[in-house]
Amino acid sequence: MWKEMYKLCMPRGGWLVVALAFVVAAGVATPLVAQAATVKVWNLGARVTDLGLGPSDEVWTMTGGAPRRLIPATNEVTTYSHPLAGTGVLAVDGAGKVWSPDSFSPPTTYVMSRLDPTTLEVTSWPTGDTGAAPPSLSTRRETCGSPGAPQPSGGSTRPPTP
Amino acid sequence: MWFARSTTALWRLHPATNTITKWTLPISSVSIGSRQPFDPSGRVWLKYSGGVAALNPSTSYLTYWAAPSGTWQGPFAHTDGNVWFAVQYSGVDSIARLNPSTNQVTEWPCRAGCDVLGTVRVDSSDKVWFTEDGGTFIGYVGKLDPAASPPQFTEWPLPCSDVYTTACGLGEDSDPRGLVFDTNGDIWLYFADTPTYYRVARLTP
Repeated sequence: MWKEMYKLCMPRGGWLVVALAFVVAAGVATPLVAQAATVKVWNLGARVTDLGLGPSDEVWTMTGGAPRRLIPATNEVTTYSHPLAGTGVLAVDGAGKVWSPDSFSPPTTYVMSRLDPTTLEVTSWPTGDTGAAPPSLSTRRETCGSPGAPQPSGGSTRPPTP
Repeated sequence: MWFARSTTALWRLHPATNTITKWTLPISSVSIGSRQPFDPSGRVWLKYSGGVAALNPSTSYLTYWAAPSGTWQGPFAHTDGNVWFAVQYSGVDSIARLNPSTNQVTEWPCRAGCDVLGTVRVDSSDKVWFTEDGGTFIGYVGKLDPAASPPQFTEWPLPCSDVYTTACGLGEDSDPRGLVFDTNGDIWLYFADTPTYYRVARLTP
């Protein structure tokens, strides 16, 4: 279940911190229009602390500290036993796998875990860090830059503005 | 997979190669404020204690924009390059748009008494959606049409209990969070306060 092999891909280049001034445009006062809507509510039986949607519109929640899946069309709810989902947040990737962070102890180690709901496999990656668990996460398909690649020759993402 | 801690670190995990990249940022209270933090140029948008910031992971260049007042929440990186966020004030909150190319911020104040939470989304027709805390009253899902003349807000009330009432009971508050669109355009929410926090809801606007 555990993949403990990982490597750190260090950021390339140094920081270029550009502090920018900006203009606040005139605000616009706007009218308020209330509309009727259809709201359908599901009670999942425990405290919901995060929500995401899978690729087939299945609803994933972190409920009572565990991933829970709701199929809205059938009202089917499935709860997954997950030892490393303690922070109450999740993200669902494009393959329908559910990501959640936690810390693992002893020793206190910071991990990111991925649940495959089809196989029930949980894969966890230690981050090499300790401390409080992360409060926010997001998924994106991309590749990591290769370590040791040439550093940027300088420049700015955009010129500073006074 | 990208994740942030509430300190100064941003991480990227590439599961296929078991590669983790960590950036230690010169700003504090960093979080990925949106499920869509990536702009067309590949930058990752973050919220920090003083405003919003964008990291270019290819170069490790970080650009940050300081909020002159209020607290910026979000941010949502739109496909057109603009960045949307909510601004929380002690008075009337607003929805705001940052053009990173010009550094111009445009704000649309909400109605008096609205209490905008930190979630902002922009749909495929460029309408801006957000949630509002109800305090001791019902919460709302709000929509801003910035292109309308005049720009227009629309609000949908959400239940704080099993019945719709103007005022919730003692300790009740629908406090809607989440705001995720499904493929039908319906909106999914969960609730962060008692007694609704066992619940998820689907809003069909």
